[in-house]
Amino acid sequence: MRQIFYYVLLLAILPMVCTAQNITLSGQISDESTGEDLIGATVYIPELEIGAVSNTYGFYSLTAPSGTYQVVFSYLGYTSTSQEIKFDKNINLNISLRSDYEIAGEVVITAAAEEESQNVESTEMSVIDVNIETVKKIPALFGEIDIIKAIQLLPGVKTVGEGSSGFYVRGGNADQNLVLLDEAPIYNASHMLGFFSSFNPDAIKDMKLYKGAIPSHYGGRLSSVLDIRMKEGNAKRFGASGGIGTIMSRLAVEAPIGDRGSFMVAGRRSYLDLLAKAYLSATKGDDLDGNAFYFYDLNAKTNYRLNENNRLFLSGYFGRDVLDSKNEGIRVEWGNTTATARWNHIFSPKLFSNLTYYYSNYDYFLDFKEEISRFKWDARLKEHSLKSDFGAFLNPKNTVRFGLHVIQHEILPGTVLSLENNELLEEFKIQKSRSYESAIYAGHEWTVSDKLKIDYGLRYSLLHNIGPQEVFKLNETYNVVDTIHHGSGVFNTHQNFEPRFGARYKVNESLSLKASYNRTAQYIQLASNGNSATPFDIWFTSSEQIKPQKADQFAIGIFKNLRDNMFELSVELYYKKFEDAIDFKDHAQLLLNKNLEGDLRIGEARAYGIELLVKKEKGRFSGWFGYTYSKAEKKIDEINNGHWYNAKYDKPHDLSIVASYDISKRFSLGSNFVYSTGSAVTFPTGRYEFLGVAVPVYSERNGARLPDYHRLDLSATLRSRKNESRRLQTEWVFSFYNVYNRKNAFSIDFKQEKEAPYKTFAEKTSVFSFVPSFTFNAKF
Amino acid sequence: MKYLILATFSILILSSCFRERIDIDLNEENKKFVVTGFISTLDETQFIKVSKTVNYLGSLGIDPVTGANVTLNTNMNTYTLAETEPGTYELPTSWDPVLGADYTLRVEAEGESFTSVHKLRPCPEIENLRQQIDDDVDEEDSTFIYQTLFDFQEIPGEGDAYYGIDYKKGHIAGDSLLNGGFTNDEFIDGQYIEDVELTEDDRLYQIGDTAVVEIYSIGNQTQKFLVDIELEVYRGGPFDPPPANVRTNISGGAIGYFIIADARREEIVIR
Repeated sequence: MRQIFYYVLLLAILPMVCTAQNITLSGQISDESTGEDLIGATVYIPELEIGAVSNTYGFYSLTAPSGTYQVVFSYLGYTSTSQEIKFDKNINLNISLRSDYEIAGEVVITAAAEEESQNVESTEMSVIDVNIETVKKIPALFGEIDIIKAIQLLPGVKTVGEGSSGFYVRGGNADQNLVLLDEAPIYNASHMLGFFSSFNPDAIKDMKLYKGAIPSHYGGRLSSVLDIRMKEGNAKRFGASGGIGTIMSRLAVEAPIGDRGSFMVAGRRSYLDLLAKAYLSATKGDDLDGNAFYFYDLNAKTNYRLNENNRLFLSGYFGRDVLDSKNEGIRVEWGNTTATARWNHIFSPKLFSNLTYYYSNYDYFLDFKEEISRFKWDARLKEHSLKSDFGAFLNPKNTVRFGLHVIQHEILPGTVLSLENNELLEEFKIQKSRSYESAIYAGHEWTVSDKLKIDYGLRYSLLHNIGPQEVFKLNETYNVVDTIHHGSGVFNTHQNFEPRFGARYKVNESLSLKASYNRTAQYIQLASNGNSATPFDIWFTSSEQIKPQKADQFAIGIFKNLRDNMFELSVELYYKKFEDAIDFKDHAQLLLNKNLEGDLRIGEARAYGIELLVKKEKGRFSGWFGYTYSKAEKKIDEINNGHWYNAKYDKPHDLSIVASYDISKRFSLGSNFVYSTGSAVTFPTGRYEFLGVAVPVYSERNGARLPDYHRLDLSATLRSRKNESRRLQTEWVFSFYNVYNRKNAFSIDFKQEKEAPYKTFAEKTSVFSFVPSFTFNAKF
Repeated sequence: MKYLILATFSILILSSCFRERIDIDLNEENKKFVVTGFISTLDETQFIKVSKTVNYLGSLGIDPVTGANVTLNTNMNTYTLAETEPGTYELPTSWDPVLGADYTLRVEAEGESFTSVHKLRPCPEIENLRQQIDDDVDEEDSTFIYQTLFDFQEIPGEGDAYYGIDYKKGHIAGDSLLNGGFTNDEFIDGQYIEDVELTEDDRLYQIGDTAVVEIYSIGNQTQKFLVDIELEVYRGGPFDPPPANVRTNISGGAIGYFIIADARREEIVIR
């Protein structure tokens, strides 16, 4: 017995003793020419077969026994560098890597032989890192590079409708995606009703989509996290880039601040309305003066290093869409605003911390004026948040991440003022809702053996509804039976334990098997039931009667690299089950409804599928092939007679092929082809006549399908000559959207001839036929 | 109002759209019995129609159900409706409306039985029927520039709703329910309502026309049915909610709607 006790004690003490003899190498990995932090760069000691990966701030920490080793620093698309380092005391070493582009003068990503393949090595699965350079090669609608559109080309991600910025991940609704821009959530990531996303590609450095195996430090949404990071700005020299396109123009400037910081400012403005005006007045003599429909956005970021252990970041986003018609007396505006402040503090070479404060706001207003009467409607959602996050790089086999996160939500779903001669006639207001969402989390990444690595964590999340608030009490038939007045303070609480687990088993250097499970909870959701994104979003929180939605996802996958990591291949199988899923009853009223909860119906949902991805990022020829077979269904009381029905984004077959080819340093071609089953829709199965009206009769919700969707896009890029003496680089991008001009169905509607109820017909609406466009980009 | 806003956006989006009529095969479900009727106190033939649903697309009108036994009764009287043409059952002209009474419609057809109950609510008078030139028209471009206008006293007590329509005399044939308008008394209960305009922009009058104005007291439950119909028939906007069946007040497995309403009708010659 005593022996066993000593043995256990020894086991417990041994790591500490060993740690004492170990030396930590830590520092920053950045781009040599711009000083931008490199996220996910690898540090590797081949002799010991141990390595580390830089975090989102470019910080790395690698602990090894004392000795002298060759250490390799590498990053995809960059030239690796190797240094002999003597591990005798803790070392701080900042490394800068040179991009292949700077050397070769062309945007061809080359293979770094020493580099570990994250595809096979990492425990991460259901995660896609999207390289912004890759996105820039994909042909785009109106030539406007759009990261959300690139995301939509990945397996497991679906869209509904043409050119929409909404996306649906593994059977989850669009509001189940946490879209973060420098950690602040963007509540409506689209411009111009979804045709363009809110993200200016010139301001974006990196993005990562988690479709599953969501780490414990993310929470609040069921289905995915899209983590987008803005550029820090060039810390080496002043630079500017910009572009002029068919729809909008862009300009970005960046510069160092002394030798310790940098800043970046990027803006865009659309001018479709100006072109439309010019066109209409030239061709039809129409006068569109006083009408405007445009959007603009601004990204800004700055960072400053106080000393080796402290660094500050400030970033912000401001985007706005404006629709204004002076003749009609209508003005409508909507947009997002975010601000993020971060403080990186390095407690020790092994303990990195970051404190984040962010603010996010989404609001819209409508103002209608007619003679003396006026009608104003506004709505707003905002949140303030604090997040404290710690990364402890204990040793090469153990990394721990933990922290806490608090969000204050405030939602004003709508206030309508009716005025006459600027005097208030009537006010209609949906009461404000306030809540706190908080979480503590911890995760442990543990290399158990050469073959087995696991990453597990737990998130404990809480929602507190805060008064004063009036709540309608509903009975089983969703009728209001009582109104309860809650005073100030907490009047309702929800909580959830959200376990997360991932494991990788490496069969050999180029093949691994992975499995993951995660549970997620969502406390704030969007009321939506239309097919198209509207700016008039209404978000609502879980409450006494609406339980938080929950999802459990199981996934397994095979990850294989071929030909020296030239090709990355993965096959993943997932099953996802949703609890307390919501949908709206028939003929629900979403806007300006004081009793929205009365129109909600609760049930369950399920999704499953198989995803195949073959990716080639290196070499002249790059791109990917993605195929998904999936199902997404719901079963909700009162809807479809309580039977399972297809979600509108249930599109079983989904194929995308993205390819680009660099013919020479100056000329490259891009293409993508997409094919998918049509969205699930409801078509009438009969009709009757009521006083001259053909009344449609439906049987199964979403039981029919739009025709299959497919489209081919092409692009050609012509770049100016690059040489050392010339800093200005220019390029012309010619894009051709929907090359073979397929009129894909946006919707199919069933109508009757006016005043002839027996003459009925089906009408197909399609958006965007063949769209050619060109964009001119310049950078120096 | 919100429909106006959504319509504004729809126009913007759809201006870059292509619309075309297409051929499509629709599944046809088991046919359902349909009972429809809009009986009013106006002095003209009143009838109920009994039919079965037909495929949405196609030229088939209605599929009439003949030989049904159709009755309408209150506590005091029972009237039997006689089939005058296939599927159309007429109320005897001798019927005597009882305001405030609940009317029960009973249909027995092919061994099945359907019922519906609707209250006959009193209807206010159309007062001060007059004409005016529509604000939005160009007087020089057209002679069709007049609309009708009237006032009425809303009946005190919540739960009322009104359906109103106007049309050129002699042109009612083939007219649609949707050319009229409707409102409930949620915000106007017991008020005297002035300047009610019913004339649609594409149905204006010229001098010499005789305009007919009708209002019906339908009750607020039936108004919801009209809202449903409007939602389903005017589909096609990108912000539309999912299609859904309109409500029915027929029980026993049939669909359709039965309305009985007190009504007023006035005429005005445009000059």
